[in-house]
Amino acid sequence: MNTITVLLLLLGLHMAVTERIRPAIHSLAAQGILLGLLPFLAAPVPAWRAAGLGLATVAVKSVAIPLILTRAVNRLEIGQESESLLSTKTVILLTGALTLSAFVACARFGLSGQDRLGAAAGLTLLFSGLLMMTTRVKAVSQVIGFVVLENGIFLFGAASGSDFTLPIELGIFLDLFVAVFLMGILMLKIQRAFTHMDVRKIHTLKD
Amino acid sequence: MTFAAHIALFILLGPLLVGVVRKTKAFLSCRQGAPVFQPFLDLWKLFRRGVVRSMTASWIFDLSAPVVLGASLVLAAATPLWSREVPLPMHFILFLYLMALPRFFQTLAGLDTGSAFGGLGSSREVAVSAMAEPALILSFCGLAYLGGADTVSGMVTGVPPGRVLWRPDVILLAGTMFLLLLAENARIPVDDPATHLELTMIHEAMVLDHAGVDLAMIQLASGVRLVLFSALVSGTLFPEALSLPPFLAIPAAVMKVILSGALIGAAEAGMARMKLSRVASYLLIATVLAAIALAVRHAG
Repeated sequence: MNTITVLLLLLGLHMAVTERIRPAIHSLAAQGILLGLLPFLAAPVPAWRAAGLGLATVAVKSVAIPLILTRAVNRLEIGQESESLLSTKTVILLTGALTLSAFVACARFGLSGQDRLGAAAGLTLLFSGLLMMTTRVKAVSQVIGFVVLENGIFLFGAASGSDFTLPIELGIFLDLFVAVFLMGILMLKIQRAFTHMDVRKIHTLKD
Repeated sequence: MTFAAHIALFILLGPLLVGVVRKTKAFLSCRQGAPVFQPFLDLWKLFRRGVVRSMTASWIFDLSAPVVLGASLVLAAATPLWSREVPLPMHFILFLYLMALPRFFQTLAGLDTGSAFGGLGSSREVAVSAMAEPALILSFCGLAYLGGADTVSGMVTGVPPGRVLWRPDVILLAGTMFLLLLAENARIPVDDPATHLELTMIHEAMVLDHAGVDLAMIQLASGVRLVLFSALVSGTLFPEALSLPPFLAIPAAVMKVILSGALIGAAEAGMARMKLSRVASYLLIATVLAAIALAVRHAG
């Protein structure tokens, strides 16, 4: 459990730090598989619910979303770099600082033991997803950031032990899936209309 | 007696580890490669040769190679390799500064000959080691926290034994130490020990002016340092191996060194050397990993 949490954390940091899109998508898929393992190990839930939740997580987060993103990258021909507004070194330092502040915050909340690690890792993923969404230039990396943020919430929920009911979980999945699907279509439209994917240039639009 | 045996083990395993690394790299790139014992033959050859030194070099140049070897052996005496007891227990801050001593003398010697290469190598070496310093200190602090001791041997052997895969903080610290091993010993993602091109040399440029016995001492010292780092990494991961009875412990230590040589070789064969300007990012990642290891230790 601890090891899985730390692996999730490291994959999240890899996505935040890496300069290329495809490895980031691979990390995202790996994160989905690890998240799918969580319901089996976490709080005592009925086996069929754990299985359903785990399978749904794997299906959506490590199969469907990475496939959509890979297709988007292929169709858009946007190259390898996931350009950022900040330099790599700044991003590394920032993610390190965010990680530490998440851990400090969770220590202050007074959570204890295993829960604290999971909660801190979840909070870290949330922060780094937010960082990716705000500092990345290309829309695909921003979508990856969004999914990382969502994974962070999932991990935080699993660690805090609150009993999600199955319909709510499925609702979240559907939401996320639709969101990424729409973003995929939208990216294609943007590409067709402007022949580039640089969101900085959209600011210059006028009617 | 144990003192002599400990040092002798380090001296024998150093060239062996270098040989294993080279053989693994050759094997993974589908080449035959030199025999594993080639570094021993090289050292034997170099020890029989005289020293050629620059006309402008001063006594510092003559002093540097013995200091490099001596300091490395003192460090080796403080590192647990095959038993929990070491001949020379040493506080980890002293250990870290003693690690800087041979580097200081080597960079001075590089500058001393007055050749352009020496200065170039020295400046790059100092830059890399200065950037590696925070990661090194943080990971040693993490180890001290984990092992509950402030001597190097105490903190490595004090790491609570258990199934490694279930201990994320131990894995993170060992991973950081492995990244540092590659950076500190001039291995591939940071520096290439096999290259002699002026654009790519870091460590090699600095020792380029050494010959004969001096070069042999420096190569021996670098082998000893490599064994020392891999002993720290493997000791952290598998502290059980250190409490075996002596007749099992020494073969176990040799096995650990051979395994870590294979691991280093595999890591080097799988990676390209990175641009000098990206080394800072690499070492920043090592620092952040060490900090996260501390945080995970605190939380979990």
